[in-house]
Amino acid sequence: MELLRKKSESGFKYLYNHYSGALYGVIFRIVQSKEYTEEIIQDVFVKIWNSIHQYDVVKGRFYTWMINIARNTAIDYLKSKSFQNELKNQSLPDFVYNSTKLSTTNKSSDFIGFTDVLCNLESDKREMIDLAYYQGYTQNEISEKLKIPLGTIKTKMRTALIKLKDLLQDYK
Amino acid sequence: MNIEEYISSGILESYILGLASPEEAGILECVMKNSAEVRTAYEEAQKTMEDLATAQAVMPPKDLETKIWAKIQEEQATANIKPLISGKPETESGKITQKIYPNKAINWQKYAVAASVLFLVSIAGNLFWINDISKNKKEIAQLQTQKKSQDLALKTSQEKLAILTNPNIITVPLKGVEKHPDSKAMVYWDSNSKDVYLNAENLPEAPEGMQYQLWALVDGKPISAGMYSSDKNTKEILANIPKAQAFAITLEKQGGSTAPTMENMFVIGNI
Repeated sequence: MELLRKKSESGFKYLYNHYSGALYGVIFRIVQSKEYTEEIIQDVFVKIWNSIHQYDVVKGRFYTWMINIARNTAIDYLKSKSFQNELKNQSLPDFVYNSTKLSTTNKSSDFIGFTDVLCNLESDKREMIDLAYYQGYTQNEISEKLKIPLGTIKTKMRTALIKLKDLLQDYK
Repeated sequence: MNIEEYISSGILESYILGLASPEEAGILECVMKNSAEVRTAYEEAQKTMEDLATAQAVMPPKDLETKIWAKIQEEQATANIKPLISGKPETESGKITQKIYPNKAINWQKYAVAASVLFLVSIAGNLFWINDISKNKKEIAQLQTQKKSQDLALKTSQEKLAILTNPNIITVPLKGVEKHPDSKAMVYWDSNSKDVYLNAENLPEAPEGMQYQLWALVDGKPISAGMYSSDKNTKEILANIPKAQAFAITLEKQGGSTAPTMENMFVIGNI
């Protein structure tokens, strides 16, 4: 953290070596394109670099803070008009909302060699995490989309994450 | 709602994902300060998210690190330039003002030179005009004196003319005696008022301390008819002579004599 606050190159190297893969993975899962991911991760690192002073230890862990920057940047990108227009031009208007399917069924070269822990989750739990974590859906939106009451969504989310946690423990 | 229920509500996940409303987030932040259990749950939920991210990590392209570092440095450079840019107008404006100032100075100097030249021209002009004016004044003064003397002469002439045109005036021409053949004078004698005027312009100028004296010869006896001076010429009454047969002028000492010095007689004429 000290190195990062000093904004030294060694600080950046540490940051990059430890988190670039994870952040890249998060972004890639959201935008599902190597091209865009490369573009976005650059912005994400610059954002992290420039807003390091805004990071508040009390509010959460540094890693989580960075993941959220990556998530938000990627989701914003996804929601941005230019990206949407691009998708329309590609005649894939449902791409974003069907990305759950895409992310699991996509056979494009971009996904080759991709470890997907979520595959080992039950589909309903995976969908929950996918919508919330990778697509920036609010719990209300998930509730509407899946036509499941909000309270149920919240507990489902919780169980999904507990399950995920166990899964990740095994994975480690 | 107990702690267990609160944690189970999914608020932690919402909060981590940034989906919690500001109220929800505020409550959670407050609860976390007071509840180690919630705090721990929050930490664990975060770790789950982090573990997921780590598990899902994708190896980025090799050149990405250098790209990003270059971009960061570029950003920093622009960030550093930004104050420079924001400073630039200052320095530029500084330069500009510096640029302006020499120009201004040059302009000022130009104006100063121009002003000085104008001032000198003005002074010269003033001096010229003052000189001219003083000349004019002198001329005017001269003219005024000329006019005065002319006026005086005119007045004199008018007075003389008035005397000469007076029908009661008897003109008595006095002719030069043997010794002074070129001398002549005229006596104007008002037969009515008996006043005597003398025009002695053609007499030689009286020497210093001497004065011409007019005499009236009344029944063979000379009676002083007044002392002559050029200012009295014709216009002033020299004397009142009720009766006379002839007039004569002698050169006498200043102030006149009681009896005429006969050898100093210049002119004489009978009525």
